[in-house]
Amino acid sequence: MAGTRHDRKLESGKTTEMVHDDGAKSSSKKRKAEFSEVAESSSKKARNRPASPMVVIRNTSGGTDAEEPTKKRKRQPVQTEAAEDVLPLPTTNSVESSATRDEGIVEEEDVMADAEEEGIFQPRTVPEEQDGSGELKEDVEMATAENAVEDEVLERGANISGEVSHTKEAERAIVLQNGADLSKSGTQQSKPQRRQKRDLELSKLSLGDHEVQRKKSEVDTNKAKHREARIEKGRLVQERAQELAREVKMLKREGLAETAIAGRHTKEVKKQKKQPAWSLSTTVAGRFINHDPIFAKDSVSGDALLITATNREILVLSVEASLAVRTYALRQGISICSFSLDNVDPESLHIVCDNGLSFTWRWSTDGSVPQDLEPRDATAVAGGRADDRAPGLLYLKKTKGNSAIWSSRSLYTASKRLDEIQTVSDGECVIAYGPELLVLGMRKDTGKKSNDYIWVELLMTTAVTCMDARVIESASTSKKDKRPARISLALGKTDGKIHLYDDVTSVFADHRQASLPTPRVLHWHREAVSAVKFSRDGSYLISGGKETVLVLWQLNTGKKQFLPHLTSEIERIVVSPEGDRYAIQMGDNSILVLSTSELKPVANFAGLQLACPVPTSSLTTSEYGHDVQYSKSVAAVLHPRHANQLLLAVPATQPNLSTAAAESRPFLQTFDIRTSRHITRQALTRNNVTDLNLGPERTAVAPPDTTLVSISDDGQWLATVDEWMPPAGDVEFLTTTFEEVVEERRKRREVYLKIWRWDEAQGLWTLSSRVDAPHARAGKQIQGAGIILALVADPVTAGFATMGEDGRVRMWKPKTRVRHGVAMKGEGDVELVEWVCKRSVELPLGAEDGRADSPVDTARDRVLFKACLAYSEDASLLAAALTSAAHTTTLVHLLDTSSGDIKATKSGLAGGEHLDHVGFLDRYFIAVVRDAVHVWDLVTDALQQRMVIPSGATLLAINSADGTFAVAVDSRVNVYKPAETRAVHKDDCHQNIAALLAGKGNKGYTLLFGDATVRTLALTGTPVRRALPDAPAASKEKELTIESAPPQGARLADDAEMPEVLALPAADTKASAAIFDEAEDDRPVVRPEQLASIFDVGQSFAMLPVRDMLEAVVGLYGRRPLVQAAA
Amino acid sequence: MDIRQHVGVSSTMDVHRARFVPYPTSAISALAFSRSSDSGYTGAFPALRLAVGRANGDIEIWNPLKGQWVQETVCLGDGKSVDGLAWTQDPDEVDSEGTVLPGQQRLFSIASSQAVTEWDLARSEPKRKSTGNFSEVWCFAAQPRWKTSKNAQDEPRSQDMVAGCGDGTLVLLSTADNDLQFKRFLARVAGKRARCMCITYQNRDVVVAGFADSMIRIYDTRNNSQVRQMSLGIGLPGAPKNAFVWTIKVLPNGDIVSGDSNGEVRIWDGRNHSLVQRLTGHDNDCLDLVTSADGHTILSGSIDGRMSIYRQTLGEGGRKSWAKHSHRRAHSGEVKAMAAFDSKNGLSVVVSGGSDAAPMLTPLREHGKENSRSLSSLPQQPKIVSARKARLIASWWEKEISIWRIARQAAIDDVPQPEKPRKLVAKLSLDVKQAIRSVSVSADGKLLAAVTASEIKVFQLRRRTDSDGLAVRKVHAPQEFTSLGARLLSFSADAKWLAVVTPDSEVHIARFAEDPEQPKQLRCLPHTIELDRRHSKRAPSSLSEYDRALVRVAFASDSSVLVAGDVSGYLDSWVLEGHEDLTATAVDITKHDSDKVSSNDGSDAESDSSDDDDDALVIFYGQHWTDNPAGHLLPKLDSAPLALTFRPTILTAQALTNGNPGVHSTRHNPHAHSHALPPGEHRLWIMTARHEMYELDVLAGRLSDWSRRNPTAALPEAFRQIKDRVMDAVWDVAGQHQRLWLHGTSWVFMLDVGGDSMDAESVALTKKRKRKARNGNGEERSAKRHQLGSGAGDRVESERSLGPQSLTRTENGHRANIDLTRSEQNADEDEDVEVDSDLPALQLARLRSNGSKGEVARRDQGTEGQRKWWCTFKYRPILGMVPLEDATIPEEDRMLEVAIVERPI
Repeated sequence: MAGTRHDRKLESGKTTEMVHDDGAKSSSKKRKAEFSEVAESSSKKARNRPASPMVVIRNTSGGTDAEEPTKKRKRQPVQTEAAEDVLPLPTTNSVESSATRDEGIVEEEDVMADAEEEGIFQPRTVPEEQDGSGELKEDVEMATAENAVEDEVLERGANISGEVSHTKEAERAIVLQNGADLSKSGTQQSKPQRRQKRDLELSKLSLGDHEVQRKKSEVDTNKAKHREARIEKGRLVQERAQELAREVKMLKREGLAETAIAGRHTKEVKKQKKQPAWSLSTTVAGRFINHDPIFAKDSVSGDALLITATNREILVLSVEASLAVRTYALRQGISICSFSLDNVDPESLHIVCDNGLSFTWRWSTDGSVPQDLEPRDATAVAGGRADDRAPGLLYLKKTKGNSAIWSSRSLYTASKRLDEIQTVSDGECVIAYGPELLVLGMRKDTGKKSNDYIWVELLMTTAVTCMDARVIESASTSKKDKRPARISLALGKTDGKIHLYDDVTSVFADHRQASLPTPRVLHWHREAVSAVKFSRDGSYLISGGKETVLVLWQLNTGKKQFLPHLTSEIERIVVSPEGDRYAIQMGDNSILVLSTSELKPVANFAGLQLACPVPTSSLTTSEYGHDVQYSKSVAAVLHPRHANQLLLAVPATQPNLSTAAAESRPFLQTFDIRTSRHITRQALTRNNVTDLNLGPERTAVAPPDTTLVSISDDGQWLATVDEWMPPAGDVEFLTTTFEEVVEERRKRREVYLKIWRWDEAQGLWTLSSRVDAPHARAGKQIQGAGIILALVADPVTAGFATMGEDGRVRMWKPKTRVRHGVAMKGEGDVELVEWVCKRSVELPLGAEDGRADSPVDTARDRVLFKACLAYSEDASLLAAALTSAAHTTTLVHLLDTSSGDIKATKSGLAGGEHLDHVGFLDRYFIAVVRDAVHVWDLVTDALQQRMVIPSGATLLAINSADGTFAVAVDSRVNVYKPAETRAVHKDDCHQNIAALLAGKGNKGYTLLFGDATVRTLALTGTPVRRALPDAPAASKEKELTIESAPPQGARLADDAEMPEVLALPAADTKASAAIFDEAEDDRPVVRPEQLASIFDVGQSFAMLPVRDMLEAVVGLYGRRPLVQAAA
Repeated sequence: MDIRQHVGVSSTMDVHRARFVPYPTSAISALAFSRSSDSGYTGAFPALRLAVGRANGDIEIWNPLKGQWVQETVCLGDGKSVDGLAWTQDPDEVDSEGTVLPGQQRLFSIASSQAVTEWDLARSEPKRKSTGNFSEVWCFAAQPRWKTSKNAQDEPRSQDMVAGCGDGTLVLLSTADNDLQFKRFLARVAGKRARCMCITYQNRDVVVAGFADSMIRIYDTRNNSQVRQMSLGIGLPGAPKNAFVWTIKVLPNGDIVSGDSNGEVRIWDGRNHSLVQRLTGHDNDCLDLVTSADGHTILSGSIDGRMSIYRQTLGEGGRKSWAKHSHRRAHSGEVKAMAAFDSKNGLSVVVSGGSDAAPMLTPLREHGKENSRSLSSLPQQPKIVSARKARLIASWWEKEISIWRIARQAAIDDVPQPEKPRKLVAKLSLDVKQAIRSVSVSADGKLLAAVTASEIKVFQLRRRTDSDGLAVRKVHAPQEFTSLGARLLSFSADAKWLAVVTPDSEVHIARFAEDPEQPKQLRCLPHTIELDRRHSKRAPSSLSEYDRALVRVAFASDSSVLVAGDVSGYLDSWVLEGHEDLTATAVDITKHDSDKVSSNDGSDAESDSSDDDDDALVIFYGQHWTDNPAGHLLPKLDSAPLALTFRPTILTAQALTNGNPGVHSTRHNPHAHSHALPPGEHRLWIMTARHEMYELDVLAGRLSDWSRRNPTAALPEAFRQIKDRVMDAVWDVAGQHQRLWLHGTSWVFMLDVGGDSMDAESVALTKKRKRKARNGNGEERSAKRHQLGSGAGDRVESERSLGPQSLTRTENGHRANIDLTRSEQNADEDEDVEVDSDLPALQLARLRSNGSKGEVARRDQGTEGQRKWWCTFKYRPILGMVPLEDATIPEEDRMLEVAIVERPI
């Protein structure tokens, strides 16, 4: 699958002229089967031009303006190639990025883009010609098949986002050329060869030259094989195309396939009939890099924008809408180090990547040409003096032990490491700093355009953590003297002080006169200052740090103002050029924009707050005792009703230290993984937002850590488990040995099971019941609450089951509170419910239990470190397995949930090995043990399958909707069907998967990664069935009668170029849809606001992917018949 | 709390760490420098002193002494807190010979009463008070000095004083004609809150006063009119509605600076009285502030102990604006009072004080580059004495004397019934009007004398037979003697003589002897004598009376020589002529035999006796006190002596058993007496306030040989680095060695003064340095300046400095290192430390002393096992160190035993 996801980013492979020249030829030979022989015919044309998709895009979309770059490219092909190479294509907006999950379409459009690029674009109407897409779909599948064989696919699989931009262009093309014909054979030709070339480029970039050679040879050897396959597949493609055409006709008859969207949908519908293909979606979310965001202005609309970057893409965020306007994704594996606006052209953004390359992106336009692509090995960039010839950028280069400041040449080599660089007054003054060093540079002669600076290097006695400089221009307005009159400098130190130098220009004076005034000391922060900035007029200094308080220093009066309780540590502060806004990047992976006048939030860009995975080693004995080894897993769950909502327990601040305080997760974040938007955040436990967060010993106070989260099937109940232990320092005085400290802490451990009810009115989870210490500690009469090792939700009714270290399984059920026989009602006429433990089952230990004669040992042996708990799909059975220190063989107990009896105890299920996860799927019981997955048929009571998996950290997710389960090992994820030996799908994400979640719908699987990114592994083309509780059986697609689709609106939604017109047509659509509904007989009444909730999301980039939009609309219109059918 | 321990000097000293001695310290409530800067003076600068007023009414006079800070005298108050201090200087006078006599500097204080008190510094007591028809004075200020204008014929005028009272009255007082008199009322502000909190002169004619009703009012003294009033406005939320204007000062350019109860410092334009700037300096009340002489720096102190510094900088658009630079917690309690002295090149320091009682020195010009330094809150003259033979320790404060007996070590170590290591054996509560100024106990513990400013009381102490306690009996003394009062006193070693220094710095001597009727009782002989001080010709001074005040007095170990030193460093010495003849009349009064003396001595008694013709000569048991014939040869010390002690001499058995042979009364000479001078060498070891060390042969009137060989420069480097001044010295002459144990409030230092060349190397080097200094005068000066700094602590070490101390400048690829620490004035002298650089030995010593924390010792390689010096800082703060003696141990085995009295914190 991933092979087809192969995208423009792949063209970032660095290429040489040579490779390029014969690229077309070789690529046409080598190519993957999915692009088959169609490539051949157009390859000749392609050969004549460098494959420069970006240029092409300009051609098609922008028309004339693309001419020039094209020519330029022709003149300097080498340079162009170089330019292509890192780059990753700009993603215009997130609509498309989500849309790319819709594989078929992407491919199709991709191809179209290629066609356009080749100048052989032939307009067509998508609905008329479904064959093309069908064919491509085929490609997709075949690519999937190929995946198993070809390793290199993995690289491509990662490179999804680049494709996105093309998608958009292509879509636009579709819209524009609506009604025209498309010659499909021509459209696809250039793609395979270009792909191959890109592959090569990519591989060269990433692997080096010799690797390229190797690949080349590999290509040659595989040629023959591929050709055969191509012929075979070509036939298949044709068949598919015909089939699809038939399908379309049929749908057309039903009046559905009017538009591209509808067509797309039908295609999906069709696809589902066939063998579905799994695909890994693009990456969404991500963590903001530690870099100052930049305030910018949209040149057209004048909207305030904020330019920042996550680890994988550059984002242009709209302050008005709190949404990303444009994104520009980098190839997987490359991340952005630094970026800076050009001093002359504020629409150019200079970006430095961690692979040493830098480039320029025109952020204001969508299709942008990366310029100035040079390997600079730079780590930071700042705008220098604009020159006629050179952009005058200043870079920081890191060498061993020290850093150098570079422009076109090395300007200065510092004696120690420098981290950041800033220029003031148009590059007249350069300031760079590292922890120990401050380097100041003053241009020697303002008249000349030389880059001669006087450099002054100051060794810092306390480490500098942040810095800001401000220029006060000389009072004399003579234009000649651009030299700043004074340079004020604010340095934030690790000891919490801010040193403020009113004027540092005196250090540049001649040897004898050089002096540095004593700084003003602003000391409020207890810990290192993270960010310090001058206000625009220089009368304020704004600083922030770990105290979660924004401090505003009135420099003239010495007064301080505070904005406290910001919930998370402040990492970065930026003041807008107008001075009316502050952007505050915080430790919870969010950027808050405040108005300076009233300090009210203007916008908030919150990212997914998944905590960095902390190495397990840091969480060993000191935290949990020497005999219990368990690492924290991500406490996250997908909402069963809103499959795109991810609920996860998050810390207040991304931990950069592995202390208990930093790692505990007292909050619940709800995050929309489809639109990559933060929805809500609420506290689950006590936290330090408004309380004192430092103890008397100046150690951070640790809030409880939410370890487990589970949600009931109807989405009404949320169960969380949080635990807390006093820090070791608080009990040390009681004890002498380390073991005793551990024991004392355990005695004082607090564990709560909290069950929350969804409050629709408030949009919050409200606490319904709190169970203190739901499980005892292992061993009898031992003080303290026991850890809860597993928490699962009843898949049918409201109910939860927990398993604790005491080896008990407890089942929790709601109980309506009754007073005098009448159910008590609370606010809003809701019945008051309390949760009680309905059953408590003690699981017997294994055969070795006979050793219990030594009580001390027993107590210790019974300490469980791993427990697995799973409900069967109908909630009749509960499988519980526990692993204790003493027992190597893990027993799996099957409990009858109604009686609480242990129906069966099996040791074979787990294969007698280290059991990691268990689950039920249909009639199968799935157990993930070390190195293998066991699928046990419960009906025949026999081992159905044993799949060997590599050893590593495993994760299991079961999707009953499509009858598959997924197992993730480290970075790889395999999807299995219980009845099949071979994996349905295999994929490698190239980074460790932190969590693997299966939604209630048929969305496949959601993968969470340590860098706070999310990807979805889904069956492409599978229609979304909203798993409505009242219509669970409505899974057959035939019953899913699609009533209507708003053609215009959908199309417009597609068209991200015109966001401002979006709202109106959408409204029109609603109206027309309503009228349409009325005209028809018993079609469901769809209220405008329901539709609006789908379409009217403000900006085009926030819109749902087309497919999801369709699904949503279909869900609305197809509702009543379903209900009727159910009735 | 008696910890007995051996000090690590090869067990040569037993130390009792006594922490039981209570001594209350009192908060500092007012501070004033006698002048605030060097500017505005023609000719010699008037004396610079710091007056420290305390909550118990004491006023201490400190001499900054170019950064060495010596507590010279203490004026004991009446218990009322000193709320304000001000110095004035009378106009200079020109005497008949045309020499300019500097005007006398006078100190005034207020103390929560209606009175403004003038202090007689020489007598250390109030001189006069001025009260009037106004309520208690809350604040007062002295008019700026008269500056000779172009109109040269203007008579120089004295400084007026303005006092602000609790009822809102402003009073003008005149100090003209060496008097203090009510001049007139300046204003009466009506209103409940119209309490004047602070007041100052903007110039000689305009007074600025801050009130409790958050108003600042400006008055013109020429026409008694209110020029302007400025309001602070309503206080911060939560604060009282009215802000107090706690302090007000005027910058040199006339701008007014106020500090208020909101913690704000406001700067008002001096001409149009508009608010220039508000600075939030503190979270709490800003109680006091000071300004630098150039008017570019302000320091303020607050009730939470923080001191903030504000500097004038160029703001936006080149406008000058003030900004708070930094703050620092200087005091553990509040900062009640601050005073600044700011000269361009020398001292530039802010002194602050508060409830933690210790004056804190904060550098002003070199702020941030030099450390702050805390002076001791303890009196620099030890308030503890011992009777070494009787093992008694006596301490006193206010009107009480406590006496403890310290047990012998052997007694404590005895297992069966260990004696309590100490025992309070007597507690005397004297019926006196003023606080006790000093106490002395004779070595045998039989006599104790306590003095106040107006009384002298002598007691005989006897051990009770029935208990451990002491029986105290008052010894009768002549009325004219006891009513003298005294500031200093000392018993001679043989307990026969008591020398007292009266408040007027006259020296009187009383003789004690056994009462012939009641042999067990001691009595004071009915006559006492006054010893005349030499009238040296002194340089004119602005504190001429005060300069004559005696600060130390010492008897020789054979009780035959008495020396007293005064503030300016002059020494007076007297000798006891003749031999004791118990058969002679106890008191033989005769007319003064000046002719005979002069004829006998044939030398130079004319200056001594010129105006004392009417005095009678008193002979006690054949002995009488007379001026040291070589007294005029004794040099003037560079500064006041702090340690004044005679080197103990082993008493040779007197060959003559009885009386004065050859002295017979005749008809012509009815009161014949011996003129025999005491035999032997009387070597006086002196350490001055500048820590200069001298040893004088008093009877010869010259430096002793030892002193010639061992000048001050021979002192180890470790000693010269000590900043706290010496308080007292204890001799350790046990065994063969002659050691001197010196101590300050924070250190104990042992010097071996028996042998020569305690540090021969460094002496030689020092000589070299001196020579060198003579060659290159500028270098020497700069080196000295470098060493002394601006009067506060040492320079900040680079690790703790605020900013970087050096930078690397690169231009055209050429790198240069620039040191940023040098101060501006010697920026042109690059080699200011070069003087020291060629002294390896000194550097070594410095190195060693820096290396170790607690104890520093140097072993001379030449004399194996004999430490030349030894130093420890582990005892602190030291109230006093007194010697004890164990009579049961044979003398040759005796080692020095001392009690170090620490004041527990």
